[in-house]
Amino acid sequence: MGFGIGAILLDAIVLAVVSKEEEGTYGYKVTQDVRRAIDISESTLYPVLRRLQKNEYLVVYDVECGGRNRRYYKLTKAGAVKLKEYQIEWKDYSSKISNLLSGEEQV
Amino acid sequence: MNRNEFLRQLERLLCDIPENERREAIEYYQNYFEDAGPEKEAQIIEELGSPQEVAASIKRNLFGEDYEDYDFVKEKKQQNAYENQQNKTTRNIVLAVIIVLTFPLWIGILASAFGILIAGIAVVFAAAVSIIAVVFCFFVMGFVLCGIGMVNLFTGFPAVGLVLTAVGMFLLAFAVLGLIVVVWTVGRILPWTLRAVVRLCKKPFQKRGAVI
Repeated sequence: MGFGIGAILLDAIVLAVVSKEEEGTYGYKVTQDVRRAIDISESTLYPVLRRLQKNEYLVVYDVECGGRNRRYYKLTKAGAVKLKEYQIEWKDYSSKISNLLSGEEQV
Repeated sequence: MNRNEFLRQLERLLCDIPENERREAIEYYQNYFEDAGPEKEAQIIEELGSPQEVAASIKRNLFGEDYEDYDFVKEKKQQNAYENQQNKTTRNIVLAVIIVLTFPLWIGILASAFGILIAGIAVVFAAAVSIIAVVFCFFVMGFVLCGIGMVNLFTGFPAVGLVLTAVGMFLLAFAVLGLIVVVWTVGRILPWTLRAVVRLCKKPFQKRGAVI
């Protein structure tokens, strides 16, 4: 896909993907989920996850899984609020872009 | 390259970031490989690219978006700055040593030049003063001789009077000539000489200014 994806959109996408899993999710799965929609490199998401974790939108916890620890990511309350904000902004932004691209007059 | 080599290289490349950041990143990619399973190991390594690229993406996140080839650029800049400083210092030291070592030489040259300049001015001044004195003497002598000659012409021996008057006129003629020369010298040559001296004094400073 030719449209660039900025850091904010990437944050929003990752927050949305993580929010889908009630029990939290892990790095590899997040990457696979995001890659179903957009073409990103495997190394793209670690910095995003780390950033969101530092901003306290995500919380990290380890789960014992098959004799080893697996790192899980879960949305915090602040993360949920942020995601809501992104969703509203995206709706507005994407509809404007869609209107522009399809050439329809704005109401 | 297998997974362990990849992680080891990544760890080494991240040696300049805080330890907790490094541990976090290594753990993430360790987890990533484990979750993907051994059969996908090669594919993931290929898709991740080089450990250098992964390290760069992590550091970009830590140090800001304008980070590019962090280690390399920073090291290069530091080295360049250091070398520049080194070169400048060396140059300044060499310059200082040369100035100190050649002190007897250039102080001599400077003193000599100054001496010659003063001597030149003195010679010109002396010559001017003597010429003026000579002209003054010629005038006085001319008038005196003319006076004595006139007196002799009418009251003494006319022949002696004529000769004396003639010599007096001769001297006066020379005196007038000398006066013309002096006036011309004072009017033309002196300002010109002064300007030339001033130019000569300015020249070394202008030249030095141009070199530096």
